[in-house]
Amino acid sequence: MNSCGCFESTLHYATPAHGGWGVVRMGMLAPESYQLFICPFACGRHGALGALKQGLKDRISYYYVDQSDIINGYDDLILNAVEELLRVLKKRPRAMFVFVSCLDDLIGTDCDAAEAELELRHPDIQFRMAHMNPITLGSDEPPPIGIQKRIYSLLSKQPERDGGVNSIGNLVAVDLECELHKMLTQEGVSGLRHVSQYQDFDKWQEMAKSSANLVLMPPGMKAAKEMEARCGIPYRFFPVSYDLDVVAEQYRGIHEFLRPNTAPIYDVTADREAAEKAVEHTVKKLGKLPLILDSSAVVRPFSLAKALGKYGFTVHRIFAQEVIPSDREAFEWVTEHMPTVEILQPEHNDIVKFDRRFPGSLSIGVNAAYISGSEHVIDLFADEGLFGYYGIRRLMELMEEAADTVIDLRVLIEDYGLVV
Amino acid sequence: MTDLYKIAIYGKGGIGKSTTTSNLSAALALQGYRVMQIGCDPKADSTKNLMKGRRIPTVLDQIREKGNGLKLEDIAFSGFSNVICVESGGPTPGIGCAGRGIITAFNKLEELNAYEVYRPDIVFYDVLGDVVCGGFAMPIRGGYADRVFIVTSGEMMSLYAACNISQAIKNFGNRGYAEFSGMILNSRNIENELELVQKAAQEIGTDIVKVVPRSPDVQRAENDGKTVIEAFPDCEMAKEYLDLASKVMEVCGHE
Amino acid sequence: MGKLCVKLPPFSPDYSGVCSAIFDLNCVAVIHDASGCTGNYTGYDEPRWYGSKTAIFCSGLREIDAILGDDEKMIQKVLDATESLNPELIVLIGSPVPMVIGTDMKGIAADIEARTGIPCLGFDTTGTRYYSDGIAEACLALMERFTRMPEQKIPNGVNLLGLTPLDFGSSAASDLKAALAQNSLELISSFCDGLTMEAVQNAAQASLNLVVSQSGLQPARYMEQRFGIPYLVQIPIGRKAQENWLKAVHNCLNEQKSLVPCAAGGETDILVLGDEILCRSVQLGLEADFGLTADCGCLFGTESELPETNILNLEDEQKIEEAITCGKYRRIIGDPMLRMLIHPETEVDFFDLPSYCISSKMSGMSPVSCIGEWFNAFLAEIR
Repeated sequence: MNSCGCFESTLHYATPAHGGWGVVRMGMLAPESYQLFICPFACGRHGALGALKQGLKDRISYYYVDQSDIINGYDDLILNAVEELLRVLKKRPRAMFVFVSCLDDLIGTDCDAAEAELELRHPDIQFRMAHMNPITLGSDEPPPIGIQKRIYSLLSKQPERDGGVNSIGNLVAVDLECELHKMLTQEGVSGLRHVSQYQDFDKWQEMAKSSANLVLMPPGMKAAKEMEARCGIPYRFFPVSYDLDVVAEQYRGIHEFLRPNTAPIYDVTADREAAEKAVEHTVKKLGKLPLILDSSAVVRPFSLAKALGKYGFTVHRIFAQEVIPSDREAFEWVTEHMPTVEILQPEHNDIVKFDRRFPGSLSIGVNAAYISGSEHVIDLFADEGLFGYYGIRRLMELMEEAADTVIDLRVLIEDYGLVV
Repeated sequence: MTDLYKIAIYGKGGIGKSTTTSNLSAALALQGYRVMQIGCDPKADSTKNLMKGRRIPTVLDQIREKGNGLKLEDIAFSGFSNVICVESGGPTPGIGCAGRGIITAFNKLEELNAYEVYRPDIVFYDVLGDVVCGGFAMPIRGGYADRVFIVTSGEMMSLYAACNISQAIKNFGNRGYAEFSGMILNSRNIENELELVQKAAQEIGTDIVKVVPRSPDVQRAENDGKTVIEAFPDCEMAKEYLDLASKVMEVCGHE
Repeated sequence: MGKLCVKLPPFSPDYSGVCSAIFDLNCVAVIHDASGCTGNYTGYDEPRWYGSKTAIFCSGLREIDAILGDDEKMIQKVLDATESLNPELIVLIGSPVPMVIGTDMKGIAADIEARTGIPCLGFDTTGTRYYSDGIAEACLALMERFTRMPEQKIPNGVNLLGLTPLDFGSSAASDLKAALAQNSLELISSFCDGLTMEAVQNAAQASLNLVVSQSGLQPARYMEQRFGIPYLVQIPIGRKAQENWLKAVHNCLNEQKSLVPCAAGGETDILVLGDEILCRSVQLGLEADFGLTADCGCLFGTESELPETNILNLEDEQKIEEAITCGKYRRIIGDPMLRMLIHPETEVDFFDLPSYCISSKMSGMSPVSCIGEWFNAFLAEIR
């Protein structure tokens, strides 16, 4: 951010800690699905190596296009590539994502026609043309949104509801210790479902029987809207929050959404108290230890800063490349009420100077830690598994653990298998 | 004749740029120059009238067919008076990317050392000027044509294309692109044609190199798959093209 | 790479090669892409990235800029970064989208150079060719632009051409440099490991170029033509082979003639997979030190101008798999990731020689050096 408080558009710097799941790993959430990339070979390198790291390489193949294919258009090649691939695969997948890369946005392959033709030829497989096209970042359907939409489009409308509830948008299921599970069970919901729990394509279809979708992360919104239109499953957005009062409101909201007037309200008092106690303990323990927050660790870093500031922590710096809509209000609050907090863009070209070192800090997020040289690090990615009072409690635990240990950041970063 | 003249002829589709370019090539070849003509239009008929009406295989077709085994003689053909004819070609209609096709064709010519092998004195790039995206601007980039001429008539769309092309050249002054060297008025005999084109030339900041009159001999020659220079070397129109040839060479600094 | 690729990851592409070559220079470099291409390089093709301050960036290309051909946006960002970082050199690197829309990387480079007064090189890399092409192009561009005609040559001065972490692990690179020093050869410039602008300028003071990978061949030919410097194409792999190599170095220096050593060839059950120069050098090492013959399975294309024996062009996954499983080979040397292509019934001993351009940081082992006698230790059991 420059001196006048605006986010700048500069050349992007990518630290070794830059990146996240990538569309490959997200798409792999769909049970019994396979991925075929039709693209220049270069486009596939990070995805393939990432898949190897995650042990998913046996579900992904590539069909490389060269310059001649690009000039001539590769509409037909898509069909041939799928045929060729299916001939060598030992097991036919239930669903196949056929990915094209950025350059396809410029040459305009007729993806709908390809999808229709593929399903006609192979009625036992559901095909989805998908896009690994970061060139559309900033548009209304960048890759993380597009892939989630396509994953959930594989759920077909079911004749009846079974009272389950889905969590959508979060890439990792909410931890079982979270009170959300207890609450739902007590209020008569048969279970909080998440795509990662299924290995079987047919069993996964039960997510289409659910009565509601809780969208826990913004990129799942489009998928949820589409499921509402197609399967009649209503949705609500409850982004992960670390603010005790916001969490209280979210639980009221979830109750209202799922069981208005019928079931008795689950009493969250004990969970709230536990979270409050944890906060108190951690504030006392960390004292004035400067905290650095990172948008790679939490989806809404400004909301986190606001909450931590209210609890009495010392937030020193926030790394965010941009402000997402659901974090906008908190961003404005932070700039007004926490004026000493530094806001830096992790991809700003000046980051490469590494002149913002601050070893005596605790970073929530590895990218922040790498740039700042923090001795203490929490290796949290995208709020994974956290929600509600449990999320707050767990974050406090992680902060205390991090304050007690000095981590080998290099090993941590290389082990995670980040994909840009 | 030690210098290599690299000249791009742009113009809207159908304006007569291929006819003009082929007659230029033929005229200069007869004068003893070694001429190479490269058609840069997916239509791939730039050199037809130098090849007895025959369409030659395009660079892109041959890349598609022969891949890495492609040889220079698969894409370069000797036409009237030994003019070396090449067509870049284009993608399957409706898909792919025509602009990128031109770039790939150019790269292939270089890779096969076409310029070293044929050692031409003059290279003409005959380029479709309706669209000036990255690929169609390739011939005016550093290392390709040094000079650009635009063939136009007094028709609105043709002048519009001419403005676009001159704009493309001007926009990128710092990039070492070709120099805009003038307009060739290919008469359509529309009202006030000369004035219209003169006015456009003035606005763009260039001159009309030559007014090429309209003549039925052009069509007659083309019906035989020939240039006017080849079919009717003694007719009036042939003289006009010979005059155009010397004017173009004059602008290019040849004494 | 050939068409369908089911098991192997794609190898390093040309734009990573350019980046790898210029990594050590004080530059501002930009890959003109949306983010994924830069991610390939910083995440998987550059072992030196962690902890470095090299200013290689992503332009953050977006769809609308591509469609409108709005180069100015990128140019402005480059100008801003240049002002902040004061580089000696600016480098623009193409990727698949600029390829499709025909962005004139060289033209933009000329424009930026005119505006900043700082030398600027543009590369039309496309992501459809291998890293070795990128390294070669970067070296050529640097030499054409900056290497000075020397007043005099340094008699025992040599350059290393084609030395980047994509082919050579850090230990192999240092062993190679040590081999030069131990034999009183002065290293003038190393393209590109520890390269400086000064070294680029002085490169023509060398009396011999040592080509150690395919990416060094084109630059070597250029320097022979332009500066009359001969070249020797071999990595000293194996104790005895290194002695032979040293003799060849002195011969080339004394007679100022280029040399491409070539193994005798013949029937074999050994296959070496990788860069052609690496394969040929292992082939020479096996011959000199073990009396064995080997076939070279070239993964990144073959150099048709070089004299050849037992050279196979394994240009796609199917061909590599066929070679590995055809039953002819009992012993295979190559990147450990290529083990994925071995069938359960294939009986081979596989010797792991990791290449970053194949397995990146995923080889599961530390880099291996085969320079000089390290090769003999590496292959202790090959007999």
